Parts: sequence; structure tokens; C-alpha cells
Amino acid sequence: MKVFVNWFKTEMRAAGLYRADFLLRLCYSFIAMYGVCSLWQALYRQDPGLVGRPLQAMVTYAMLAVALDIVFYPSALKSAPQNYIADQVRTGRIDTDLLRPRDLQSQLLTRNAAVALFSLLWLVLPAWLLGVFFLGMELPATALCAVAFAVSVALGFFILFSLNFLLGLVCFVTLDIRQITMAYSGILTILSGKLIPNWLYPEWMQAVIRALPFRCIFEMPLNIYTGALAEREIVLGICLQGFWALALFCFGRLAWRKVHRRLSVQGG
Amino acid sequence: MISVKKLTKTYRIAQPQEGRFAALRSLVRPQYAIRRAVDGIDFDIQDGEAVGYIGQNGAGKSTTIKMLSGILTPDSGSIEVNGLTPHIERKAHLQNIGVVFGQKTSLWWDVPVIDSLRILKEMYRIEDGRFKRNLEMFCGLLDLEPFLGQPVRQLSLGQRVRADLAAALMHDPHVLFLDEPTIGVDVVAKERLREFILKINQERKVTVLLTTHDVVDMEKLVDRVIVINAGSILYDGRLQGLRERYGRERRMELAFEGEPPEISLPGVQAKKQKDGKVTVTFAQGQYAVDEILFHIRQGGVSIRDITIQNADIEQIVRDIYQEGGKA
Amino acid sequence: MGEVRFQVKMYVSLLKMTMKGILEYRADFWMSLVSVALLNGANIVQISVISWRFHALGNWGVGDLLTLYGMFMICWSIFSIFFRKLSKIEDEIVSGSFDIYLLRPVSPFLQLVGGDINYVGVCDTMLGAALVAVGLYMAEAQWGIGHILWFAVFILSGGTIVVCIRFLISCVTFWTTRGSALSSVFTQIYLLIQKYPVTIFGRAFRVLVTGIVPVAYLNFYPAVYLLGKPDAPAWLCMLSPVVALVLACLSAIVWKGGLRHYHSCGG
Repeated sequence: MKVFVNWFKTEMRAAGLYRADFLLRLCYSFIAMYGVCSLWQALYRQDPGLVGRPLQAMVTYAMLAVALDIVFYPSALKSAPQNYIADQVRTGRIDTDLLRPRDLQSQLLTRNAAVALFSLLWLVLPAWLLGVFFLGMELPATALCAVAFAVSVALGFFILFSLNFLLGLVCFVTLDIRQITMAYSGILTILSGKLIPNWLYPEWMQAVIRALPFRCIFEMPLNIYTGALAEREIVLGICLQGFWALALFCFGRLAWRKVHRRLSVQGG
Repeated sequence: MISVKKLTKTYRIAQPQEGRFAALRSLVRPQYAIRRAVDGIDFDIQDGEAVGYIGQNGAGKSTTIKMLSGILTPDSGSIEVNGLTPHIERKAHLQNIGVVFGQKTSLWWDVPVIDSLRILKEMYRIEDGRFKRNLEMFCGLLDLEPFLGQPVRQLSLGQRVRADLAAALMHDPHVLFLDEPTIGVDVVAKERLREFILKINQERKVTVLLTTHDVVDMEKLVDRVIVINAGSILYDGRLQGLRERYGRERRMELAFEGEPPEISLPGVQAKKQKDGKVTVTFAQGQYAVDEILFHIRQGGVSIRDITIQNADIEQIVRDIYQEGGKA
Repeated sequence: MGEVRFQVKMYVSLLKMTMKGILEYRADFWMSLVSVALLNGANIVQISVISWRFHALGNWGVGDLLTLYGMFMICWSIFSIFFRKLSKIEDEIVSGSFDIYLLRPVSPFLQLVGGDINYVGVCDTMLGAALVAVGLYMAEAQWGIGHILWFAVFILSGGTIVVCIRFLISCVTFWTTRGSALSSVFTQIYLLIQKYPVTIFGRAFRVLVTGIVPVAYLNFYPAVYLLGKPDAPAWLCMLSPVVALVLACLSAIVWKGGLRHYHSCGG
């Protein structure tokens, strides 16, 4: 917890130094939100029936996705695990990580969570306010939705972290993961419901998406926020997120242990 | 011939602002502190001279070198290198000089050394014959042969600096600027670099201006030093003269039979070492060595061993730096 | 003239050498192709899904949208193959490499851009060209010799515009060390214009991307002209080379100013 607070403070100080950057980042989110807003309005004008949701709900969904993307873009955080591991492997400093008393996974999780929380308060929240005041974004459907949304976002972040961590471990096999990272971002964009809500995909793709963890990152919290899910569905959704979070975290742990053992045997 | 007159360079450093809307204010109307990096210096360097340019980090060494090589434009004052003003007649000037930074390479990181040299040949429009002659000569003097085919990133620091030196001299410049060429290099490699620089200076009559913190570099390579501190020249003259002028302090090391005594003479400092020896420091001319020894023996202790030292250059340079720091 | 020939020759030599350095650690070409396809796949999937669900985006059918996206990719690839180093000016200044460029009797600009060549970017060009071909076919565009000529002009102008905009953003680092956030604002604008026709974003945005940061000239106006869309008058589309020229001149002036500033203030 102390480590968490420290990382949070570090991030806060850095942000204090780069306040001009902050304004630009906000500007950047605003443009993106304006973009998706226009897109869905245009599609709605064409045929409201086909969107499958009321205009305001759809626009809210799309804009919130953009705002969350500040935290959820796979390599948005400079400390994102795959970037960190890739860097350490490339420079050969990964040895020092093996020597630390706390294990790498929880270390990175603490740091990332701190940075993410900071971005959430410092960047996503203002972007959200902009959306609400200027672009007609809706507030959470009910108070329950708001609470469930917060839980769901946290779980979504956790799932993304675990996936990123696994991606980072690929480094130990291929040394360079830049290409793979690009491909991974592509897959994430398509399957997480960030760009297009999953219900617009053809049936067979929806089936594929349902079987994968990616939709738990974006689609689940967004659906909860916009009130598209009934209470029972919300509980089920959060349980599903919990399942994926736990499974991926454990998988990451096992994989890291394996890598760790291999590294120790080879002597780095 | 290099001629520098009343050369001045100031930097504006943006000051962080305090208080409300500080970020916004610093964007709209930034406040600056003025720092005089080089403050009205004058010197002349004759053709074929080798000059050491020394001073603490931040004293203005690099700024001067950058102005001499045409990277920076002076605020005021004039520079002439072989009759050219570096920042105005830049292209012609660059054909005339070679520059080596010990801290960073000017070679291409991922390609073999020889390829870097070949592209420099094109850049400086070096004729084939001259290129071949120089390459052979540098290969011989710097022993480049074993790693000519290796990419720069695989070289040791010593090898890299050797390759950099060759690269800086391929086009037969009249002047060579060396910015801390031996920094971080091991002793053997350092020696080799020095021999080469000396040879280039003496046989090819290349004017050398080098900055260094290494006293051995100074002693072996240059006959003249310019000491710069806080942008001004403190000393310009022979290395030996530096010792005479600033080496006013003498020190001796005494070993005693038994417990070392207290030494209380005005102006004499005594410091006990861990091994029981005592270091005695005093100003040259204030006492004769004999007077001090006499004073000690009066206390009835016997001296087992004496070492008397003149302040070495390293010590002098350190003293000058420290004095400068205080000023 | 001899000077120009010399500089061009040096640029070619530098590129050759850079190429040699890159081949030292060869990235897997096929892997790159796959990841380029996947990364762009996300956008193509989006375009397809929208077209499949809604049949069109406004008056832009799937063929039109693919053409739009393909044009963007080709223009962008010109930047990413040859000029990627332009986004690294800040690093070069901080690491001191920029000083080294100034010590050699060759244009620092050419030394900079000659320091990187991203041959994998050819994948983008190929994919972009394929998309344009498919798009034009699906849109049943009428093509004549004039269109082919204009296509070439559009690509060249578009490439110039991308490069100049990135270059201008990078040049900001001569004066201040905060360039990166500005470039991400542009990334966001690119994300919007690369796959959607500018018309859906309203008048203000259209003015912005036409007159102020003319990125609509990368794909929107060329597509409008080549496909014969009613979204903009032909003369506005044909301004493309003029816009490129203006930006190029502006870039040259800013670069000169930046160099002068660097010479007087250092890194």
C-alpha cells in the first residue's frame, strides 16, 4: 500500500511538471469524443432502428469508451508491464528484477494501478465532465449502475493488466515484441467493444467474442454505465469479469514462475 | 592559428514559476535567468600548438569548444580559426577541423567502422589516394585493423575512441578539438590514445585543443594550459608555471616511533592518518622543512620516516577549482 | 547544382548505410506484414461492420470508405518509410547526436532523415494500394487517364503534407521540449479522418482539417475527386499540390529558424 501511495505521488509530481501536456491530452480526448459522437449521430440519422440503442445511450457508450481508453489503451502507461519487461530484457537489466524481494508481477501491478488511478482522476474524469457538459453524454443510469460501473472498471483494468503482463513475458521467447504489440492492439480494438459495440457484429463473431476475455475490458463496464444490463445481468457480468481476472492473473503467475526458473538456471 | 577575442556566450534558463496558474504563466511569459557560460575570454593558439583546456564541469569548456567548432553562435566577441569565422563560414570551417567527443561517438552505431569511414570520405570529398594513405596510417598507429569490420556498438570504449579519432582526422584537418577524449578509458588504452595524439600533433603539425580532467593527459600531451572557471580564464600559460604559481602548498608525511605528537605551529596543519602517520601541510616560504622538524623533535619524539612532496598538478587543479567554487 | 547533386548523393549513401545497419538485426518481414494487416484490420473490420449493418455511412458506401482508408495508408506510409526519424528530433537534441550532424559538411536535415529507413512500411503501402484498388472496383468508379495522373499527384501531395506536418510539430522541440503531447493531438485527428469522410464531423471540423491543418488533403479530397462524390467542389480537391507546396515552404522556413535558434541557444 505504501508503495502504491508512493507511485501515486510520483505520478502526481510528474503531472505537476507537465501541466501544458495535461491540457493537450484533454484536448486530444475531446477531439476523439467529438469524433465518435459525430459518427453515431450520422449513423443514427441514417437509420435509428439499426443502432439497437437510443441515440443518447449509444453516444454515451462510444464517448465513455474513448475516455476510458486513456487508461485502457494497452501501452498507454509508460510503466505498462509489457513495455517495462521488454525494456528490461533488451537492456539486460531484468536480472535486477529477479533479485528484488517482491515478485515482479505484484510490483508492476502496484505501480500500474497507481498510475492508472491517477490518470483516471486527472484525465478521464475531466474528459468525462467535458462529455457531460458539452457533448450530451448521459450520467449513469442509476446509482447502482454507477457503483457497479466503478467495480467493473477496476476489474477491467485488472484483466488488461494481466493480459499485458503475459504479452510482456513473450519477450523472453522472441526478444522483440513491438510487432506483436501492434497486432495485440489491433485484436484488442476489434474484440473489446471499444470501437464498435459487440452487438453490431455478425452472429458468429459475437459468439467468438463472448468466449474471449477482451469484452470484459470495455464492453462490460460501458454496458453497465449506460443501463443496458438488468440487475441480474450486472451481477453475472461482474462475476464473469472476476473469473477472467482470477484466471489470467494465475496464468500470468505460473508463466512468470516458469520464466523465473529458466532465467535462474541459465544465470540470466 | 586560432584567435579568440572577448568571446561571450550567455544562456537564458527558463525559471520555474511558483503560485497559481504558474504553468500557464510560464507558457505565456516565461521568466529567464541569465547565465554567463563564457564571459569575455581571449586567447590565441599558434599553429601546431597543443593546448589543454581545463576547468570544472560547467565552467564553460564545452560551450567554448562548441563555439570554436561552429555549433554555437557567440553572443559577442570574435573567433577566427585559420582565418575563418566558424559560425559564418561554417562549411569551409568544417573541412578544416576535426572534433572528437569522448562521451559520444560520431560514428554510425550499427554498421562496421570501415563503412563509417567510407561515408565520411564521401562527405568530406576525400580523394581515393589520400583516403587510402590515411587509412593505412591510422590503422598502423591506432591498431584499427582488428575491429574495422565490427559494428561500433560492439567495440570497447577504448576501441571506439580510437575509431572516432581516426574518423575525425580522415580529412586532414588542421585543427583537432578533443572533448574529454580519455574519459572512462582504461590505463593501457589511454596511453595508446595519448601516443597517437602526440604523434599527430608533432609529426602532422595538427593544432590540438583538448579538454580533460586527467592530469596525466595534461602532463604528457600539452605544454600550455588554459584554466577556465565560471566563464573566465584563470590561468593561461605553461603547465610548469601553473605549479609555480598555484603550488604554494607543501606537504610532508611523517612516521613516528610510538605515539605521534601534537604539532602546534601557527600556519601549519597536521592531520593524523589511519596508519599512524601524520600529514603536515604548510605554505611554501613560511617555514623551512628543518624548522618544522626541529620543532617536533623538541617534544622528544623520534621520527622514523619522512616523505616530502611538492603539490602535484592534480592537487593544484583541485585547489583552483575549489577556490573558484568559493568565488 | 553540383551542390544539390552532392547532397542527394549523400542522402542515398546514408540510406544505404542505414539499411545495412537495420539488416544487422533483421525484423521478421512476414511477422511485420501480419501485424500491419492486423493493426489495420481493426479499422477495416470497423468499416466493413458499419457498411454491413448500415449499408453506408451517409452517402459513402463501402467501396468509397475503403478507398478513403487506402489513400490515407499510402500517404502515411511515405512518411513512415522515409521520414520516421523526423519524430525523433527531440531525442537527437537531448542525446547530443544533433551536434554531430552540425559538425559534418552535409545538410543536417538529410543526415537526420537519412538515419532511418523503415522498409517494413512498404507493407502499409501495399495494403493501402490493395484497398484503393478494391474500393474503386466496389464503388464502380469511372477511371480515365486524367484520374490516374491526379491519383499520382494526390499521393505525392498527401505524402508531402503528412511529412511536413510531422516535421513542423517536431521543429517545436527547437524552442520548447514539449512536443509529444501536441503530436498525440494530431494522432487523434488522423484517427478520425483516416476512415470517416470529413463531412460527418460538421462544418467547424471541416474548416479545421481543410484550412488550418490540411489533413483532409491526405484522403478525403482525393477520394471525393476520384470517386466523383458531391461532398466538395472539384477545384477544392485540386488545390492539393498547392497546399503541399505551401506547407513545404513553411517547413523550410521553420527549419531554418529552428537551426538558427539551436545555434544560438544550444540544446
